[in-house]
Amino acid sequence: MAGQITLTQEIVEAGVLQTDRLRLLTQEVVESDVLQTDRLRMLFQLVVEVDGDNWGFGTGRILSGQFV
Amino acid sequence: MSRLFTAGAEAGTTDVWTAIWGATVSTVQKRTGAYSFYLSAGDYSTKFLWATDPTVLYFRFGIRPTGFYGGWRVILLLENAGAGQCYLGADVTGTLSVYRVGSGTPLATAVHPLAVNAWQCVEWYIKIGTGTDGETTLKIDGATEILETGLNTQGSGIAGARGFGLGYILWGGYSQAGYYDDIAVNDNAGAVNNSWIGRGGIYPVFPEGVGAYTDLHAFGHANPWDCISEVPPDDADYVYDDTVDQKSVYAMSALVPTTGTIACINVIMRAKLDAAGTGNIARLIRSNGVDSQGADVGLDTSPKTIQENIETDPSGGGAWTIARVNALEAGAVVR
Repeated sequence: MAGQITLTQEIVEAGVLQTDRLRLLTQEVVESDVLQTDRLRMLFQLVVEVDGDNWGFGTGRILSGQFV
Repeated sequence: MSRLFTAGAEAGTTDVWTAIWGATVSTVQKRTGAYSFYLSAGDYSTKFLWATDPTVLYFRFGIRPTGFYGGWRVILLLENAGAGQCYLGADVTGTLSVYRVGSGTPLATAVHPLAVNAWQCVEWYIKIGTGTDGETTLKIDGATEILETGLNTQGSGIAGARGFGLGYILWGGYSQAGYYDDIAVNDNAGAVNNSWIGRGGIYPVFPEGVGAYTDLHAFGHANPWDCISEVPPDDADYVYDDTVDQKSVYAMSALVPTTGTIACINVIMRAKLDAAGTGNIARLIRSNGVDSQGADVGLDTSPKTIQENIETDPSGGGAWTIARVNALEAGAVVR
């Protein structure tokens, strides 16, 4: 009798390309450092008051509420 | 510093004061320009604080009383801790006296009373001092009514005055009832505006045309100067920008007076940020091709009134002239 062949193991190792796995990107956050100085400056009114004397009415003397 | 305060009410707002209690602006009466400040009979008053504690002060203001109730503090000087120092008070006849706070006895009394329903120009010199170091002089329409030395004018343990109030209530009672206009205060420091102010008045000039810098954007009107020239201030239209160092200046209207001397100009701005955060603004004026930029002022989301006295022309450093004011360009820098 011919000798019996006993196959105790057969393994095929497949080279699994791990790089083929799907990339599941569930979140990407970019946090920006907000420049507070970028706030809008809103200018509502600009007035220049001028304090002077002898405004063309002599000495600036007041009589009855009016310069004379 | 020499000019401490300038207010002709020409911005049409009481926001030029550090604090007010019931005071308003009025176009019913005005000594010069279009507006005055009004205090009705009652506990109505204003306060302005500066940054120093001078002991010598010169006041000039127009006053138009509407009635005399007695016990008025027409002007009260406040020391740094907020207590009263001395004041110019009016009795039921309209006669002005100088008082030290804490003493009901006048230190000196005017010869003639103020008139009701007429503008009068009051000039007051006060030196705050203890013992016999205090002095005071009062003029009404140029006529000397009080001239005293050797007085104790310091009611507080703290020397000097950090500010003043109109119609200020110290112990209760009535405030001044009437109109104030053309208010100016000098101390005795510096090379200019260091003495009597003179019986002049305060006129406004407003943005009305394009200037040398045009960065800031308009909202509400096609022309940016139309957004910032309204009186009283209206926050519905404005100029805006968010890039540091961008700037605009605007050609200003001409002064009503065509002759005279100029002691000081006062630039008044109202500004805020559009959202919470940090951002500054600085006033900018341009005279005869020379720029003068003010200090950075921090803003927040509530409108802030910013004002600065500019006592000399940045071009040449001499006194302002009517021609230079008429050629002035004023605006702001984003900072």
